Amino acid sequence: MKESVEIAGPEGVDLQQPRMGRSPGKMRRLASGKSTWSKMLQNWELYLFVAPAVLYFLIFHYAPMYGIQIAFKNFIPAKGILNSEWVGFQHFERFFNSYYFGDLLWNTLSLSLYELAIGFPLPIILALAFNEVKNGFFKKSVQTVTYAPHFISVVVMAGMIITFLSPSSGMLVRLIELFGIDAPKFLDDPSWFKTVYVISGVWQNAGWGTIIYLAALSGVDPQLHEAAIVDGASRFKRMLHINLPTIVPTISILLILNMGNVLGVGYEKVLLLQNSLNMESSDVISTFVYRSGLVNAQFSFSTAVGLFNSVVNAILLVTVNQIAKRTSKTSLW
Amino acid sequence: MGKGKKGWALLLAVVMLTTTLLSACGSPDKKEDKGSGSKSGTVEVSKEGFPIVPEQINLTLMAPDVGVQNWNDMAVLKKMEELTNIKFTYNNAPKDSFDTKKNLVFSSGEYPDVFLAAGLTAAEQMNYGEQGILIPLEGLIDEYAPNMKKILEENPSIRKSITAPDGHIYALPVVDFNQPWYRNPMWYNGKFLKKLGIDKLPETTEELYTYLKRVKEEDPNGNGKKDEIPLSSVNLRDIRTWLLGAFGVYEEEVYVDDNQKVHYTPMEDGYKEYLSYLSRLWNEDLLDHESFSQTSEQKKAKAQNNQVALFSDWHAYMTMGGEPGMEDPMFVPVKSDFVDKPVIARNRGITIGAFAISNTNKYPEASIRWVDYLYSYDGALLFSKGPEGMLWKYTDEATKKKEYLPVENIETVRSTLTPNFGIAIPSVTTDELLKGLKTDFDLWVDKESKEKLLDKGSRIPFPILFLTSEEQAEVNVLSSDLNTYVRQMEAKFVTGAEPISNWDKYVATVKKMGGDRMQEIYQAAYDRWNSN
Repeated sequence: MKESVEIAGPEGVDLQQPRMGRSPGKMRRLASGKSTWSKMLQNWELYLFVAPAVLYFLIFHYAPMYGIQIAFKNFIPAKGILNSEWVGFQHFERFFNSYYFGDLLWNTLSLSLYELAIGFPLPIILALAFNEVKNGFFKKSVQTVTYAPHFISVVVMAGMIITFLSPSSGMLVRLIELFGIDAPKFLDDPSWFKTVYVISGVWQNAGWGTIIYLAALSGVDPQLHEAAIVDGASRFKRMLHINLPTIVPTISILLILNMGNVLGVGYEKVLLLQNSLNMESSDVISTFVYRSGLVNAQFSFSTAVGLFNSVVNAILLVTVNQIAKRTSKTSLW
Repeated sequence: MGKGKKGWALLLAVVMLTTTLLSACGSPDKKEDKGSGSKSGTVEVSKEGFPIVPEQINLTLMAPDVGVQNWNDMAVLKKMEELTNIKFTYNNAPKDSFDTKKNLVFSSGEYPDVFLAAGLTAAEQMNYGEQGILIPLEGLIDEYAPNMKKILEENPSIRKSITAPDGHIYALPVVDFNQPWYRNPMWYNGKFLKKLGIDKLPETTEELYTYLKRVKEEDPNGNGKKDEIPLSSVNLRDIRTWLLGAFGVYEEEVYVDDNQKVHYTPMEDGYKEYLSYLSRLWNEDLLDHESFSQTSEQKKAKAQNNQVALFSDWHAYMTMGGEPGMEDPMFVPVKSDFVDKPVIARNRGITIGAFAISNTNKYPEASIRWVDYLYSYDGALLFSKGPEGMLWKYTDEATKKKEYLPVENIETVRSTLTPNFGIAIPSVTTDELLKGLKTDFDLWVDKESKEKLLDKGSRIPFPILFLTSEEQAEVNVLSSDLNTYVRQMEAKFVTGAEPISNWDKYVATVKKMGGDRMQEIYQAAYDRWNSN
């Protein structure tokens, strides 16, 4: 029995197929029967394939982690990371006692939840809509138009936002004034900052975000639609009851991934749109880290803040994953 | 099975190859040998005359780059290489992001041999000096830098300002006692003054207010629209010091008054008056409402559109556009009812941190001789105006009298010849340096500075001094939150987002965040400085 699997073919890749089909019970027996090493040897091509990715993560994502220790040390460049002296949780205490701790946490959380609430559902709706359009040319051009902003770099994007929203010469401000409405000070008013950030983010990324859903939607069995049409289901009903359920697993996976990033608001765009007037709503953890670390060279302190940020992210990711697992059986692991 | 083994071997080989490659890139001790001709740092350095070294040596240099000309192509640097036999490799970073880059370089463990115009702060000099990253220069100065030595002997105050608390000198300064400006001056748009028939510039805050109000209402640019912007700024940083002076405050962070008492500006009553004044200008639309969100390019665009009446820049024409001209007069420091006369901050005369040598430099003696040339008359002239025959020539070499050659756009050409453009390159400015090279415009600017600033009793707001490492560490921690809070509240008070009646609450918060402590630390440091 075991032998038959092992001889099944020298082309390791083919081997995978029959194995996948086996019942869990048989898999277990197989695993205990042969040492892990010899099984790995058997499928060396697969390991070779995966090696670059594993190496990449080891070298660029795991190896640098040893630097995290400076969060608990007083990092002095000349002494290096290993020889700097330990100070325990001093830097964390300083951050928690900082005047801005509350503001930073609130801004970071609210900004990313706001972004999630607006930015997450829109690509889904857009993808469902694209999927309904059959006309090739129209569909393609609309898709291209919505993808295009994704390729604008953040710096240029921020420049465009500032120019469009400038109170004296901004195109959008002029447009609003045409309707006889006094345009708000989009970039100077703290209460507008988050909206500007989120809406511009939607404009830039909603189209691009549809790609993964469109891929999932292409997997819908046409027979389901045919059957539904025979049963007299309207287009909207079919979208709701056939298309949407098909992409629900994709949606939940993406939601989990997004939740893991809730405190990870990218700093570039925030930093570029920040000014001393909107600071109270635009200062987030990552810009704070940038300021204290790169600008003021307090490397240990900013590492501590960054580490705190990552720990919260990890906790959120695991929690949401667990919830998803219990409720919908879709989860990352 | 044989096949499997081979696969493992291959995989292993790939892993090992990758890791060795990576470690080779990462480890600093495997750096290439820098000196091309020489094997070690024991090259013979001549104590005077050129070349400095008999065989060419290579060094690396880090400096801020204003992005006008590749440093490898600058005539001045080529000439220096010829003279000294020292060849530099330039690891420059753009001026705008230089400070960030500098921090990263210091923490990376791989340093350039020489930091030039790096603006090393007192805190950085002490911090990296104590760590041994920057080497002490005082011994080298005695042996190899006669020009610098002479300057230090003639001006004990300079030595005092550049010596760290541990007694070492880690960086050399720019010396220029002829430059009185603490910040770029403010300039009036001359066309508006003429149109509104102003023959005497405002001298009080009320007169200034009245003038700005007239600009707003009387359409001095004559386009029939009320699009004038009386006072424009970028983040207030450019105009702050000038307006604070009207309320008896010398500087935006820390200054010492005439009774040797140190003040932390954000808690001062004068600062409160300044906020109320700016708030009034803001409310009546006299201060540009884009002051907190615009870039200096946007400000310049407005000025070139003839909309701005008062602004700050190095020279007026740099904002207004066009050629250097004398029609836009310099702002006269105004005074408020709060004080008897305006206080005016004056340049300290030296800019610290312009040159430093790192511990990886194999030729510190040669390096210090290189920079010492910049503190001589010939070296300073070379770096200031380029080699003779390109922009200028001697009319009488004995008296050092020079004249410009007929070159158009002298400043533009100059910026391609020498790195000494927009950054603080080590040098010493003497009267004879620019003898005969001052244009009418330069002389006019000197006259404006003398009459409007120097003659009115400008002085240095706070001396250059070093804090002890403990003090510095505390200031770093306090100021990172304080600065954010103070700048944020300044914007709020000025724009009215926070009413000035909340001043007491604001001061209480500043104190809670350590404002008092800042004052104490700087007072202690000042007293120490004053007593020796």
